[in-house]
Amino acid sequence: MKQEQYIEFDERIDRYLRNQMDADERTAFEQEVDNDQELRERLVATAMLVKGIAQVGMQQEGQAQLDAIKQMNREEYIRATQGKKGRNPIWTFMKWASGIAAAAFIAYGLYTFNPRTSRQQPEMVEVVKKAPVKPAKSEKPAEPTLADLADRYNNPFSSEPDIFADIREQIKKSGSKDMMAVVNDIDNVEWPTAKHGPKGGESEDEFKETLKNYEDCSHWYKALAYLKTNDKDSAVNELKELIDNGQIEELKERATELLGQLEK
Amino acid sequence: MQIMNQMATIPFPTDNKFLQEVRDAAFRFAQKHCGSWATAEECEDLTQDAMTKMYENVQNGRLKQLNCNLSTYVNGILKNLAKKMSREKDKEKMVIYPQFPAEEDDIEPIDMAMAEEAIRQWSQIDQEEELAMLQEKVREMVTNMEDPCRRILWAFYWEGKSMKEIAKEMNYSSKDVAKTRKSVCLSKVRAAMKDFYKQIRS
Repeated sequence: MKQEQYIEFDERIDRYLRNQMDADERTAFEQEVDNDQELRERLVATAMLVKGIAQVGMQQEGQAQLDAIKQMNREEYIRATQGKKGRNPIWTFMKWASGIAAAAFIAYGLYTFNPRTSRQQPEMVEVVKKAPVKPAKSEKPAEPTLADLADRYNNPFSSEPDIFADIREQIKKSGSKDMMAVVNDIDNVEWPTAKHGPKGGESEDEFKETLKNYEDCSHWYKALAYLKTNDKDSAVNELKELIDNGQIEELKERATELLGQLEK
Repeated sequence: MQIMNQMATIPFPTDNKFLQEVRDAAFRFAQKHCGSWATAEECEDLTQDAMTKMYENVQNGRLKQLNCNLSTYVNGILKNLAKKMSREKDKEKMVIYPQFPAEEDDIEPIDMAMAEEAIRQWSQIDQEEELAMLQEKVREMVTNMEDPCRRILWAFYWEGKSMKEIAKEMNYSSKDVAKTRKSVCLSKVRAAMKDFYKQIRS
């Protein structure tokens, strides 16, 4: 099943579980759930997930908050939830004014009584006068880092499956510490594998085409993710796997070019 | 690769600062959704009424269990009060005020009764014990989940944030990327549940 279909399923499941469907829509949805195993499993998984999230949420914060509210009398509660309308404006102004005055006094004190500013400034001026800054020699441009290379090569190619748009965004936006999560995601998402076989009316040839797209893409994007974590060896391994066994010529060419950059 | 549990227990509130935060968030919600047709005073009243209603629901036992965080719960009350206020304004002034905006980003909490019924009707698990084991496994998965799935699913289902807000927080280029990401995370949850259920049955 394509990712777009899963997204569409998820939106309808969320509407159903939020009771946002009218009677006709709900009946049609329930009939579809009865007849479609994928939709049924996804609905149950989502329902159990939200139940799990509610359980954890209550454990982490909800129960304590409800208990705290339960123990408050009405006056206490109203005091604790007063808006700006209920707060004393004069008292608020006085607090702000005294805070600003204190900050100004501290800043003035630091400036006035700092021995460095009072004594050393003239010496520093002398030093600057004696040792004029030499013009910098022309320098070679800095070598790109591994992360720079990853960013430079992080572009879609023509037959890329849609799911990789999200992976590309993750590689682009996330920090290096999140990259291993990206590598995990690439390994663990339900890619079509040989044992699943063609789905949804796909021919054998179409399935093989899909399979090679996913496998080649996974090597490519894992290589980029490894580069972002500065793991050159793992990146090189993924690129070599893609060059040796990949099927998509466009990706193999890119991998060859990138590998050349890494092995300079 | 498991990471340390980032959702470690937070200390019980020793002050009631959380109430002020919920209140301030509710006021911002009121201003955002009602500011075009309600005065600042009316937004303030809506906020205070919603907070009072929440207090009453806790005291009378109507609210014992949250399906979402307290802020989302209060905003839900506020929305209903605002709809009532806007209908009353229509009658008074004989003018059609804007209805409470049906924003595509407007998120309602999950109806837990619907969720429970869906599990009961379609899980195809007859044994209560097996169902309880699977639900416990899901709860563990939620606790130990890694980013970005943890952040996305928590933000969407507990904090009631829209895909647009989540995309902004996660620095995604669009809410469609956030939707795709969420869908991938749900696929992982489903796959893990299937595997665990096979283990239980074997």
